[in-house]
Amino acid sequence: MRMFRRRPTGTDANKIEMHAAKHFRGSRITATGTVVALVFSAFSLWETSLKRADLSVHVPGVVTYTRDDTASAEVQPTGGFEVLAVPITIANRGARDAAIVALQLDVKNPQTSLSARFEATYIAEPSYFNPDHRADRQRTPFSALVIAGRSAWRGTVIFYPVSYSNGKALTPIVEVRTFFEAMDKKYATERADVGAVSFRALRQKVSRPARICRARRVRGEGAQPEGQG
Amino acid sequence: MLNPKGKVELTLRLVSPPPSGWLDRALDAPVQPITLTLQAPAFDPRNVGAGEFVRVRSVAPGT
Repeated sequence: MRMFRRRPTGTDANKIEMHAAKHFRGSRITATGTVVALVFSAFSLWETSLKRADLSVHVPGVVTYTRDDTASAEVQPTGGFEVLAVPITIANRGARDAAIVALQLDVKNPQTSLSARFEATYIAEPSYFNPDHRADRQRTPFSALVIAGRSAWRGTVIFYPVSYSNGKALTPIVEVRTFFEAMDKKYATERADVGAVSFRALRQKVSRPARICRARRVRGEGAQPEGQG
Repeated sequence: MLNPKGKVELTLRLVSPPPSGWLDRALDAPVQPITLTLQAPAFDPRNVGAGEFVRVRSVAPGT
């Protein structure tokens, strides 16, 4: 059986050339179409499977500030923990999933130059914003977020402080109380001399230069207060 | 940190686990932190200590 059609002997060479040129043009169109399809296919693969996670974070213009004094005196500082509740939307425009294990909030007060680092600790439930502070304010512990490709997560994250530029700002109430009780005992004589009921009252009654003089006497540096010697 | 009628600057950072595979390392790009400047209203710190909420507004929302 003949698989390929053969031209009869004596066919005009011009006819053969024209026939070949016509078919060559057709195969070129086919090849071009294949390349275009391949390009689209590669682009689709990139967009749907390979494109890296592309996260964008959005915070609206209002943040809620409060203090939380529900923790025990062994844990919380005087006045309770400062708390910031920040509504956050995180969008992933990439194709691959993105994991977020923590959210950090660096806060700086330009007037006092005090800075602090807060970390995401809870996620607020709707009842958290109950205006009655005696009501139960529900919250769930913050867990790592996995944001699927081409999706978004939104929630109100509650940030608690983990460190301050003033290292003593997070000292628990119990430690502060213990310190002042020890000072009350240590300076009992001085308190009796000036009639102060506590070490704090003594500190207010005794002026700063006098304290400096006393400290210098202890160190053996003379008795001139700072700025006068 | 926050005083009545005071301002604070907030910088929010996302912490992601380090990339594991070669493809992740090749495609990894850190998320840029976002910064906000907030202006506090005139509030009573004693009420805040009692659990009252203070709504702090951004000086330039949408940034």
